[in-house]
Amino acid sequence: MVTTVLRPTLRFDDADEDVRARLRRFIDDHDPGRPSADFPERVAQLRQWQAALCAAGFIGMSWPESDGGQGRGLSAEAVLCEELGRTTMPELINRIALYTVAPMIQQWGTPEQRSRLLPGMLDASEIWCQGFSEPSAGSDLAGIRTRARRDGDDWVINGQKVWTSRALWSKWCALLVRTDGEPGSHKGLTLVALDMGTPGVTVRPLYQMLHEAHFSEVFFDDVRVPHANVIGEPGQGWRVAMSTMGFERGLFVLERQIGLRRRLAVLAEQVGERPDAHVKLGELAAMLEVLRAHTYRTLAEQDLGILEPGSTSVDKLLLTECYQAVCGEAFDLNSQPDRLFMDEIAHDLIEARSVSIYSGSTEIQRNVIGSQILGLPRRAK
Amino acid sequence: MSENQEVVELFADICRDTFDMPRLLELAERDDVPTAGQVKVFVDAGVLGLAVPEDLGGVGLGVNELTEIAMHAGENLLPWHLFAAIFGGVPAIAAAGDDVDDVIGGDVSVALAVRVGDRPSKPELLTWRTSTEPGRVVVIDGPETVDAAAGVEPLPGDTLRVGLEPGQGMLTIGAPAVPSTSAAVPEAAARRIVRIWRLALCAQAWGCANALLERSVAYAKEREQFGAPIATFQAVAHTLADMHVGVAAGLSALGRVSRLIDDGDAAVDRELASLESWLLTRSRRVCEQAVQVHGGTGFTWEQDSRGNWACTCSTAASW
Ligand SMILES: Cc1cc2nc3c(=O)[nH]c(=O)nc-3n(C[C@H](O)[C@H](O)[C@H](O)COP(=O)(O)OP(=O)(O)OC[C@H]3O[C@@H](n4cnc5c(N)ncnc54)[C@H](O)[C@@H]3O)c2cc1C
Repeated sequence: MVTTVLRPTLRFDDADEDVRARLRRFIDDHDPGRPSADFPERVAQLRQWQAALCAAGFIGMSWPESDGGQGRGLSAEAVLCEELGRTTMPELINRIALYTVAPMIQQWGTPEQRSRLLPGMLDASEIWCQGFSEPSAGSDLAGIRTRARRDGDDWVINGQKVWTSRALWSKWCALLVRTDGEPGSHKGLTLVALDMGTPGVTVRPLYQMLHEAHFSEVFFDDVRVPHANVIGEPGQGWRVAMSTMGFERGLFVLERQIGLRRRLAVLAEQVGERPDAHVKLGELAAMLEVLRAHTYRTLAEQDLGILEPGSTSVDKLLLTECYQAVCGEAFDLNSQPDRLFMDEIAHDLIEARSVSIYSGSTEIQRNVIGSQILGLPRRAK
Repeated sequence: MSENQEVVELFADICRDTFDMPRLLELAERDDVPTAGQVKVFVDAGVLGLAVPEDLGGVGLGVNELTEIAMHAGENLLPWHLFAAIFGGVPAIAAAGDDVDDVIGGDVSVALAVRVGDRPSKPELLTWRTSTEPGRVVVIDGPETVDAAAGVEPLPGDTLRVGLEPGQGMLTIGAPAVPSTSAAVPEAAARRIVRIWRLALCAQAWGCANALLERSVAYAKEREQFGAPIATFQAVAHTLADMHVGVAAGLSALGRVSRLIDDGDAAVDRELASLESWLLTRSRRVCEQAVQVHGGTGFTWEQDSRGNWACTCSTAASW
């Protein structure tokens, strides 16, 4: 519950400003140029860009030195997000690995897993995806049916995942499987690191509403994964998976917020002269400022280790509000009576609908706030 | 707890003790200012000098603590003119070079004119003593035209608005009157006072909203319909969660803007304007949602969600 005491906010010290200055010089000298419209080509360019940033020492700055990082605070990562936001390639291709999977492995993984799995994340030589959702396990992850059965030193996996983003070009999957119990129970779930090249893995692209194949269906037929790839203990998967949800928010939301600022700046250029647009643009800018302030607080609390369980649901809900408001307003302010074509603005309008669904829907986030933060009673079954 | 943090806690206690709900309702019913006795409690505790720097005879709280003070003021519906004295009148007259002992002591009251014009980073503040009741403050701000009145010099150029406080939290527009004896607050101090004043208004609105969120959560756990607490109905629970989003994000933004003011960051005016635009509207929404969660009870006089709601509404309207 919120108390009447101010919360911490992210501060940038001299070392952060030094990173910022070096990054600016690097970006000026190595401007990646506009990414290709061709999808596979674009993925290749994005990998090269992350590799270049990594070689210059700008990736994994908040990781411990023993993991190939520099032991800096999350403020350094925030600087990276902010400066990348000014380039033509504002997003890191391997951000699921860097922002979500890496902290999970750092918290739950063995030293061997850290040294095997972390380095490839940094230079984007090994991309990661997250295999949680299944046809009958979306909001209710306890419904997972994909099974793993122990066989000697291996686990043998059978089942199916769906809506798995980036599965097509991923080397690794953070896969949540059932090693025990029946669907409907949080117990008996286990998180494994699966090499997507293992025999028996089939990835089938699934076209999104935008006719882009960003996510896929993934099928498993007798896929063998060594026991050494279990993250945490067998049966601990629920806790391990939920910890990724907490990590996911801080930097991810900051990055999205910066993207929305760019969109708003473009919109201001397009329609800023119109008096009917002034108030709307001002309101959106104010909203984004509050979103930034809130992400700064989340990152500061994450750094201090005082982030309350469930609190990042607020970040997700605020991001959703901002995303849908900015993209909706961009569409309205640019609307033409005969608009039937798909341009960037229509694309964004549609894409914005996914924000209230992925990574825990709006309704689920509100349930989390109700039960974990406000302590509301649950309905008797 | 630091010494300043203790001052914040003490302030919250005094608010709660002096203005409990029956007393607030009584004031509201008469649409009156607090009694001399009630003002005296605050004066005796040195509250009027909270925002005055120590070297000018005040308590010298930092921006963060002042924000927390304003949050408590909002939660406890501190009557408007005490709020205005703490954050506007008293620090202004101190910064203008006047000796503030008698002001902090509640023997005279202060008037304040704020001329923001189109340069929010360069506000002009004029301040003077008045003969109205002790502890009362006249706050003038915003854009509205001044008429010259007898014995009063109109401020040249920019426009002004006067906010007088006849009672509970409501602003009314009155005739501006700036005497020629008024003193100008030096530019840097004026900028800081106006920034803290604007931040405090936001913090006050946040306090109103937070108090109503807390009350709504407690009520929803207790009130039963259809054989279960209404909090178990998802429509109610999700309304409360949405209220929480507003309150939690508002708290984050208050924290950031406070620190930017504290750092003397030049970028703060933009962030302050964003905070005002977003938080005041959102706090009002939270108050409206609170009325809905309380049902018919929320629409009764005793419940006094009205006070909180009116507070955020009037604050929102005044900018
Ligand atoms: C663009 C995109 C990318 C994705 N990427 C990934 C990925 O990389 N990896 C992965 O594992 N998954 C991914 N997902 C899947 C995503 O996590 C699920 O879609 C999401 O959790 C919702 O599950 P569902 O689709 O089964 O909807 P359902 O759970 O069937 O929900 C349908 C509706 O019912 C509501 N609802 C459900 N339960 C409740 C409840 N208890 N109370 C109130 N309302 C409820 C929901 O809010 C929603 O509105 C992605 C989805 C999208 C759209």
